[in-house]
Amino acid sequence: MTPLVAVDGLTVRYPGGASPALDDVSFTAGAGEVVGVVGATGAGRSTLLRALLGIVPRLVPADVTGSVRVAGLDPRTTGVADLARVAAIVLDDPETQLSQLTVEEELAFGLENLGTQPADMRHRVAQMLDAAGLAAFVSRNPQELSGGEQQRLAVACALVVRPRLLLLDEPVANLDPRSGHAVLELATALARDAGATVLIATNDVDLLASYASRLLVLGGGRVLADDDAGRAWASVAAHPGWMAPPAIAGLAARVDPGAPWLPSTVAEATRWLGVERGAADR
Amino acid sequence: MTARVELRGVSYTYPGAPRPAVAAVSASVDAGEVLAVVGESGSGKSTLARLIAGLLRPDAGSVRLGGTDLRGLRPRDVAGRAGIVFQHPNHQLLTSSVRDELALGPRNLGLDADAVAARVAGTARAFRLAGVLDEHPYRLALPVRRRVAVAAIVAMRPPVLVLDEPTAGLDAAEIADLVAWIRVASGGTGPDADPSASAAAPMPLSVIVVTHDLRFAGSIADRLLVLRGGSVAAHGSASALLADVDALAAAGLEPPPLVRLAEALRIDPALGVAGTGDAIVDAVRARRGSG
Repeated sequence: MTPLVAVDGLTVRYPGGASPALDDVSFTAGAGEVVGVVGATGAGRSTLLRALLGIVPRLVPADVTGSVRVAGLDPRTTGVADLARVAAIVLDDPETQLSQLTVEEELAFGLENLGTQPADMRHRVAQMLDAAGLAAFVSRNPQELSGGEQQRLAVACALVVRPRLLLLDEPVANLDPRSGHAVLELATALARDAGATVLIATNDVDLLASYASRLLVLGGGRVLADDDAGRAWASVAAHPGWMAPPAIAGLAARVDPGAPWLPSTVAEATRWLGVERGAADR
Repeated sequence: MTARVELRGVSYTYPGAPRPAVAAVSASVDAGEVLAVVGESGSGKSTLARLIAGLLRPDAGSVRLGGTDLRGLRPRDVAGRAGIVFQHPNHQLLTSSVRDELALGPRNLGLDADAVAARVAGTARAFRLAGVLDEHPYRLALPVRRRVAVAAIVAMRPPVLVLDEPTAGLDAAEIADLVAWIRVASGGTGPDADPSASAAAPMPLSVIVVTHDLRFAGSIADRLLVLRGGSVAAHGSASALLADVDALAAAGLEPPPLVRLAEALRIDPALGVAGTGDAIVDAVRARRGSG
């Protein structure tokens, strides 16, 4: 069976860019997978997420070669309405993608565009207001919410349409850790319960560690590692020039230099160390 | 000696809000000191930052900068004493080039053209922006845009610098960079060797950092002010408070990762605050395989 996301030899050059933003990137991601997309600034994380939805090159001009398939569709040639039935993206600047006058209308907007029946729409909007902790803001203007609230709303707007592919670009940058956990919990629940594929691009690798079971490590537009999270963090720790690993993986690498697999959460670390009575991870 | 920043019983309620956003907060920051203000969303962190920068006026209590109550100052005079960098750089980038952005503050402070040019050049060097001086700020990637926003405020050499969530969207190396120059700035030599720097404002800086990133707070702050529901939940040494798992939990905060690990392994949580020394590595090795 074809994986939901199949990228083969994807190269993206922005006009005037000295080097490609993405350079011969290939990977696949299947249903139910939560993949962390990590790497230093400029690694190509945002470009990759935008290319998966065709934003690059359709809205952001670029020279694109190689192949991208999402549920068998080519995002470069598929109509926006058809793509929207399959995939949703939350950009790293949430206020730019909020357009409605109330939180409730904002949540209903995507469903309306997909032609959802009104009764079903009301039910799903109410359910998402609760799940995202936004019920108290239902009649507020999205532009008047705090940065963290806007980010939660933007993620909720993507989740409410129940996409098969959910792309999150820095979804927790404006959130305190508790809200960050809440957002990533909602996103990974979509993978667990509905079998969605979730790609999370973030700098907050400490927080990501509790959610992503697989990592795509990018650097200079290339895939440096594509592996189970513990093995990928071991590769990262072995290559100091790539990026900084989560604090716990970094410490574990100093405790056991050269380990082929590294823990990145408290629960993983206590098991890895053979300490039985570890506290809960969070 | 008077503290550079002194808050006495500061309270503020937004118009129409049912309860105060900041309630009876007292704290002080000396020259050369870094204070991290932490707390969960809605705890009043950003409101306190705006009160310190004179953008909001307290309903009760007082904010004193260098011994002067802000109530007696015109906005322009506050700008010379305290600079604030907002969470979203887009909210404070106003001009069409990085050069103009860096020049705007010094020009508004009344510096002459040569002094403005010197400030722009020195600040651009310190913040590695010399290569993008003619770019439009909105064409830059978020981390660079954020660096421009910070640099534009530092260019005014305010004795008090307030940073609201400066690490949002930055990667680990960029955060380390930020930590390095905040250390230099608060340590007395300033982020660059530009001689015009010290003429306008006495170094070292007092830095107030509003952040939800306790790992970052541990790497930069001398002292910590923990807010909960607008009130002070704890105030004291950053290294002691960040290892105090119960105090942090009471304020709805998650301790930094290595403090949580130290707690789970029942080793001294203080070893997890900085987490860079050999002591924690030795302590973890010693716990290996023990049940």
